Amino acid sequence: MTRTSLFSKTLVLIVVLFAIIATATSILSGWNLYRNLTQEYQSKGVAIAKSIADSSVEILLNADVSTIQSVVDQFTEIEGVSYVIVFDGQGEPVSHTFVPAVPGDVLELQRQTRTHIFNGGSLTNNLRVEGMGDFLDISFPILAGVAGYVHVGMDKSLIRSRIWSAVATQQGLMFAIFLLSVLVAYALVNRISQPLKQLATHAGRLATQDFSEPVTGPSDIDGLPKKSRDEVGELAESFITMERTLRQSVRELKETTAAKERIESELKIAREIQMSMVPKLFPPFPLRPEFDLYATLVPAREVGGDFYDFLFIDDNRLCFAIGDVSGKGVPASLFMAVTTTLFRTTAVRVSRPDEILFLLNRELCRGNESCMFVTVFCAILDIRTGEVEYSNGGHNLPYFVSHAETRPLRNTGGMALGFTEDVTYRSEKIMLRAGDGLFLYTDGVTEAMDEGENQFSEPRLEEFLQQANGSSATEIIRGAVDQVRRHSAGAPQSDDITALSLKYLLPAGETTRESIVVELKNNLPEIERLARITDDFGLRHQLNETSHNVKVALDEILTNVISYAYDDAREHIIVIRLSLDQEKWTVEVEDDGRPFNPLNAPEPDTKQLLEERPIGGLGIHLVRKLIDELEYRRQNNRNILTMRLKVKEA
Amino acid sequence: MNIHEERNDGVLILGLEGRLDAVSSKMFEEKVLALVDGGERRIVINLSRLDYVSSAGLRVFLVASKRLTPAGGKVVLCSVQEPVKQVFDIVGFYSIFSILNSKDEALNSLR
Repeated sequence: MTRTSLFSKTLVLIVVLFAIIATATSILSGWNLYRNLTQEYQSKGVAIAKSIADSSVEILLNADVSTIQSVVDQFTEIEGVSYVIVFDGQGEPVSHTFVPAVPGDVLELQRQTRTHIFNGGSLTNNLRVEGMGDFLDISFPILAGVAGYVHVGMDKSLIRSRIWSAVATQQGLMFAIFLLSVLVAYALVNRISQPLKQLATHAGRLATQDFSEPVTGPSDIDGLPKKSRDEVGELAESFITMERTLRQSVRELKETTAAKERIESELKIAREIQMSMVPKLFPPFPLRPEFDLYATLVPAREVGGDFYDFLFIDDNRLCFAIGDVSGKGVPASLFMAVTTTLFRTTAVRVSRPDEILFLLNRELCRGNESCMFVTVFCAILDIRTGEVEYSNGGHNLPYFVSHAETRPLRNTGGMALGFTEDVTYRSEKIMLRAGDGLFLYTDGVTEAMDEGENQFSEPRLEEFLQQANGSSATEIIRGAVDQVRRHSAGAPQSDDITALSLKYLLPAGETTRESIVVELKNNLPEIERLARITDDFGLRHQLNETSHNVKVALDEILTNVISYAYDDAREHIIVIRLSLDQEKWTVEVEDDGRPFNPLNAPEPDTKQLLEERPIGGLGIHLVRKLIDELEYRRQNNRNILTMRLKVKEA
Repeated sequence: MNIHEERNDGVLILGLEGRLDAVSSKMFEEKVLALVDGGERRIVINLSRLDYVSSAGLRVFLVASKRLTPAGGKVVLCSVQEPVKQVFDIVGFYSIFSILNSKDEALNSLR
């Protein structure tokens, strides 16, 4: 198509061009020829007429008509001479070559000629004779017209035919040149359009080609730039360059994508490995009812630098830790892997948190070329007593959460691990009672930002923890993560979010059957609610009679606390812990009222007569009688009364 | 707690039902004192349907008795059930109150 249209355009151009040239040259040369021939004929005619005139003077004077006729006849044989006529002085034709008679037009012309003043020259007229054609009539006077006139008629049709034949020859030549031009143009156009067509076909194929595949053999346009060293060649050249660049880009893109995919899949595996390094099965120790533990790790990127861990280092001691490696991503996760591995091996070797941190630090410092560091909080819970010994290595201080308060643990002042080998760590102790808990977290929790770059912050966390105090470890962690997520709604997670919640439920003992914690508000109707809970608890263990004792004792103690312990009118929480093992019930009442030891109340004399009996003092007496063992202590500004009761099965 | 009032031959019988604890004893105390102030002198407190008593409840019995005795009146308790009986034992109520086994016995003792 390209070629056809290109060639046809060229053809039209050539035709038009040649038509113009042919017409112009024909007109020009025709006109020139006409002028030249006419001039030549004229001068020829004049010469003939003059010679006849000259030679006719004598003859005419002698009136030798036959001689004139022979002269006249003699001239008609000259090419182009059509007729010759000689008039005498009176204007009568003397001799002529017309057959049979002299046409009227010639006679008429002679009449006009007679009035012409010659002045020694000749007169030329264009003459048309009906039935004979067009002539160039040249008249010449004989003896200035006295002796007569000679008219020589030159045939104009001869001129015309000569012109026509000349023009025809010229046109033939032109046509030959035209044909040649067309041929040349065809060849030229072909020369240009062939590679163009090749390029077009190649480009068409290119669109459907798979650039990611390597080239199979030489391209069909490879030879073009060399073959045609013109604009087409240049085009082909840039075409080849473009294709090569395109292929290279596609190949590079493919390689980059493949590399990216490989890295992503490796990161995914790394994440799985990392997640498998922190315990994820909850509850972790289903046969240990003494505590409730839950933890979570949400990495900001594919892999992160946070970790938590926990393990029993002997039958009764649970070691747990949380940490945060400086930085994020792969390097942090590798350091995290090293840290957790070392933590596990160290924790079972030494059984003090400060020593664990000391050894862990020493190991981490060795060969720590990249100068990474990790903050670690490590603690050991004795599940028999609820005592927690902990040590901190530069980590956010965990929260102690009890019914009374939520506060950060006292700092032990250690620095982050990995800086320098000669660092020692201190440890602190805290007692957890049933219902108390610890909340360990990394700064990803408190520093989680919303879209306005506002951090979640410690006060928000504290508020949440205090609110969620009665909940299980799982609920606390999920609630905290949920709060953080809600806070940073929409904003990308900036850091790993890691948290561990541990709740101490009851002192360990293989005989423990059940343990519950109840929170009461400081108003009297709450006592009846507690009575129902106590009844249910007793019913579950067929301890109806014993549970009545507990119920009455609790009633007495709580009535006292609610009625007299508080100086203000505010709401207070009283915590009741009920636990039962094979031998006894243990009941703890904890309140934040004014210090009061009910055991110091005087014994009433129950033998007294009614009239002498004081009305008060019966309550504590009842408690003493109903409960086997009573113990009071004041701790953290709180009254804690522990009651123990031997189990009597119903 | 519910209190059922009943009169038999000039004796007021108060039947207690439910729990007599710090909450309900206030109401019970007001009621008893109002009755005593209104002239009641012989009162039987039927405990056959009392499930539970705490020292606050015991205190009301003591208050009622102390109010009635100087005025020549008397309060008699009857039909004590097990959990309450144990509490009465502990605080020595059997030595200071007349506690009888049935409502009829209690009524007879006041005639």
